[in-house]
Amino acid sequence: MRLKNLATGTVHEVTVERGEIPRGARAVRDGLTTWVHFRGETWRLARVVERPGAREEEEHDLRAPMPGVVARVLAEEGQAVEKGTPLLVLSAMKMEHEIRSPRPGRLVKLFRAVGERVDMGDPLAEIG
Amino acid sequence: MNARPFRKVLVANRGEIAVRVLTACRTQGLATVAVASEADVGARHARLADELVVLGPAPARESYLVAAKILDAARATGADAVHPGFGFLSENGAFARAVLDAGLVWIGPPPAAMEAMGLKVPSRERMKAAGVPVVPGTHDLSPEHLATIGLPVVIKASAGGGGKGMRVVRSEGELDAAIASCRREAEAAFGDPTLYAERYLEHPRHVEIQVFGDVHGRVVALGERECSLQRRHQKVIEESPSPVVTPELRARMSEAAVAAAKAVGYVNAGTVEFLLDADGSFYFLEMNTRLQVEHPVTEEAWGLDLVTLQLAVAAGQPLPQDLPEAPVAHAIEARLYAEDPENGFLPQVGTVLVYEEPGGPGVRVDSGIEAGSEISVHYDPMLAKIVAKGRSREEARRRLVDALGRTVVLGVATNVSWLRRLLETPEFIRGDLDTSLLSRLEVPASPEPPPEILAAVAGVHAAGDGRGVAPAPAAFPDPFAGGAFRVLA
Repeated sequence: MRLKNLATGTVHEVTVERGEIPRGARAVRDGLTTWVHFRGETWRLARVVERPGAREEEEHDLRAPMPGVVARVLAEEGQAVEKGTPLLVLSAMKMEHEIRSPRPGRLVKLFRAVGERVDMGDPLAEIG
Repeated sequence: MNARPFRKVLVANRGEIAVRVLTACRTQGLATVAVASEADVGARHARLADELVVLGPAPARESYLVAAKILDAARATGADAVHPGFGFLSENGAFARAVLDAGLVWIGPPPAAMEAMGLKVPSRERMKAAGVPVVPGTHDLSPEHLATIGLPVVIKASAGGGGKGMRVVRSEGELDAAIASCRREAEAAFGDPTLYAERYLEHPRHVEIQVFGDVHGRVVALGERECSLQRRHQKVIEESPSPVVTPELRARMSEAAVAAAKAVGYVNAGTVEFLLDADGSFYFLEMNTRLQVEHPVTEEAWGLDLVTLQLAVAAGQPLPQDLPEAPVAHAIEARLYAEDPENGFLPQVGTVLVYEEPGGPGVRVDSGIEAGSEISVHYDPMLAKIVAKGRSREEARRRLVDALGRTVVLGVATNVSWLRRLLETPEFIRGDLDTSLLSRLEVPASPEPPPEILAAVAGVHAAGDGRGVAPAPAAFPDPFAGGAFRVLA
């Protein structure tokens, strides 16, 4: 079974066997995600589900990391981007947060315009 | 000031500070009224009070920020005093005035003092006149004028606070962009785009003095809090006393803080913030005309209950004659935020699925959340404050490290593990702090989960679809459900 650490993106290949549960751990499963607390550290581990024919983790979508409102758009469709190129600014909880390109490529499409509200996980841009 | 005894207090706030103030009122035998947005009706603070008034929809501007609704709530419940907490309307002089005009007791400073300190430019001038040292600054943002102050400068919202609408400019080329961005944030956060600029000290400490005034003209200082550990101008760790403030420096800073408070006729709890330079010189930054988020470190280090003192002073009582003159312990506070340290500290939302607070000698938790709490985009992401005290700084630090390790929040990502790793860095252990340390410090990253945790989680998932064996519940003592591995869906 593959488990993805949602904070770091690292995917762990785990052999399923009956093992001792570490003493003092706290965990709760919410669908495909399990939250674990152990010796002062907290992890969110998502089970990676392989569906036949599914695309590899929808690599082309840049999704909103939090709900908010698009305050500014900093890039244009069709533009070449580097990893880290600022694409737009989300405003949430009275603070502004810059959303950057996760990888080099071309900004194929922006799904949101200035002033539009987004929910966590909404697609923001497609990087081709 | 309407300073007179009262019977029923309306707390115009939410979250941990509402819980803190409501608890103080109860211990004083006062009746309590909570207010809540529709989203907060079941929240911890809303259940704690004798009475609850629902203000309106979840957004603060339709609930906690609507002065008229809060005054209506006081009228409807017969509350005769209002405590504003911090944030929301706590530093709004017009609201304080409206409370007083309605014949209610305002548990806070006189509106005129709030207004005098509320705008940075006039308050600086007033402090200069009162002999309080100030950092060179200006509201003329032209490059020619800023050159006379000398770069770097920090540009701030004149009406601001809490780090919103602030930018450091190190070269003239950055100026236009910084001003534009500051104005936008200032306009959005405070409805006032006025900016001002001041000399930016390169590695200062943030050290603030707690002051307290009564209606009989007495103003006292209750020591300092070191709040140098800030991320994007938001405080993260606070402590009292400061590792570098000597009794002699404390006396000088206290004298300046009391002069600042007296210059505006200050009554009740307030905080005078200073930047402390490496050479021991200090400069007035601003005065916060309310209880501070970090008031617990003063309470723990000085053995005081500042909220109860606020209630007494608002009722017209003189400050006690036997207040301590020096700290009796060392206290450190860590702020628990719903944010993801591994991903740019982005604010997080969600439902708290599991919540456990630490306890034990010298450990205190001020919290507004519990299992089931919804953390939403509408409010500040600060969830709780974990505080530890000890006879020495190192004893307090070790207790806090252990307490943070026992603080469990599952369902919403928080900074709790990062805070624990931060407190273990050599810089923090040495007390070698300044306001830009967090932007330079390499706090160790979160380690990947150990194999036994991965195996346990895989086992639970496999059990969920019939391909594995569920762990024995007995192996997982859990106060909530008889098994620490709880399956929600």
